[in-house]
Amino acid sequence: MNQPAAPEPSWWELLAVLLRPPRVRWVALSLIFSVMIPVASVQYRKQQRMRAEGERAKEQLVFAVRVAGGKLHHVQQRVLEIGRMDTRL
Amino acid sequence: MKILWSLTLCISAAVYGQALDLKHLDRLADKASKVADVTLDGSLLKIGAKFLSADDPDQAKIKKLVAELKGVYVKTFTFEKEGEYSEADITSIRKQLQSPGWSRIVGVQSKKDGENAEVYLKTGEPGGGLAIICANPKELTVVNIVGKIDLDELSDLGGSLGVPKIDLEKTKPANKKDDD
Repeated sequence: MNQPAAPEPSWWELLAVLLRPPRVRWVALSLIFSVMIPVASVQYRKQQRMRAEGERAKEQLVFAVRVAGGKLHHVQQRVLEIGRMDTRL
Repeated sequence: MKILWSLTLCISAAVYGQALDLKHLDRLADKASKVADVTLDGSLLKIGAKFLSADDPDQAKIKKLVAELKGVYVKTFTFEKEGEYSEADITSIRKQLQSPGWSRIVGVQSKKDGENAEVYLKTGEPGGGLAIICANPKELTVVNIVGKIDLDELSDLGGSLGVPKIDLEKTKPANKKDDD
C-alpha cells in the first residue's frame, strides 16, 4: 500500500508555524531583545559620554571659580595692605 | 562693508553674551610653561553646574554662585622668563573694557614686584559681568565672567579655595601662592 507523499510545506506555511502559540511568544521576545539590546547599548554609551563631559565641565568650572576668586581675593588683600600702609603713614 | 562688519559685531556680541575677545592671547601658549584655558559658555556651564554636588559645602557655594552666569572664561599663562608677553596683549583687553557698561573698580600696581592687577565690573545691563586682569613679569591671568555675580561670595571662595587641590594642580599656577 503506497501512500501518496505529503506535499512539501510552502514558505508561508513555515512562517505560520512560528506564529502559532506558544512559538509566537519566543519570536516576539527575540525580536524585542534584538532591537532593545543595541538601543540600550547606544543609550548607555551616550550617557557615559555625557557624564564624562559633565564631570569635565564641573572640574573646569571649579577651577575657573578658584582662579577668579583667588585673583579677586588677592587684589582685595593688596588694597587692604595699601590701606594699612596709608594709615601707618 | 562697514555696515556688514558692524552687523557681524552686533550679532556676535549678542550670541556670545558680550564675552571679551581673548583669542589674541592664544599665541602665548607656545611660550608659556603652564597654560590653563577654560571656556565655559551656555550649555557647558549649565552641565558643569548640574554636576556640582549639593552635599559638598564648597561645591554647593559654587553652584549657587554660578546659577545666573552665562559664561566663564579664564586664561592663565605662566612663563619661565620675563617679557614673554607684551603690554599690547593687555591693552587690547583694556580697550574692550572701555566700552559702555564696564567700569574699572580696582587697579593695583606694584613697582616692587612688577605686578599689575585690575578688576572691572559691568553694570547697568541685565546680566552684568566681571573682568580681572592680573599681570606680573612671569604670569598673565585674564578672567571674564558673563552674568550676575556676587563679588563678596566669589572672593570668599577664592580665600577658602585658594589653595590648589588634587586634580587641578597641573594647571594651577603655583608661584601666585607666595604672594597670597
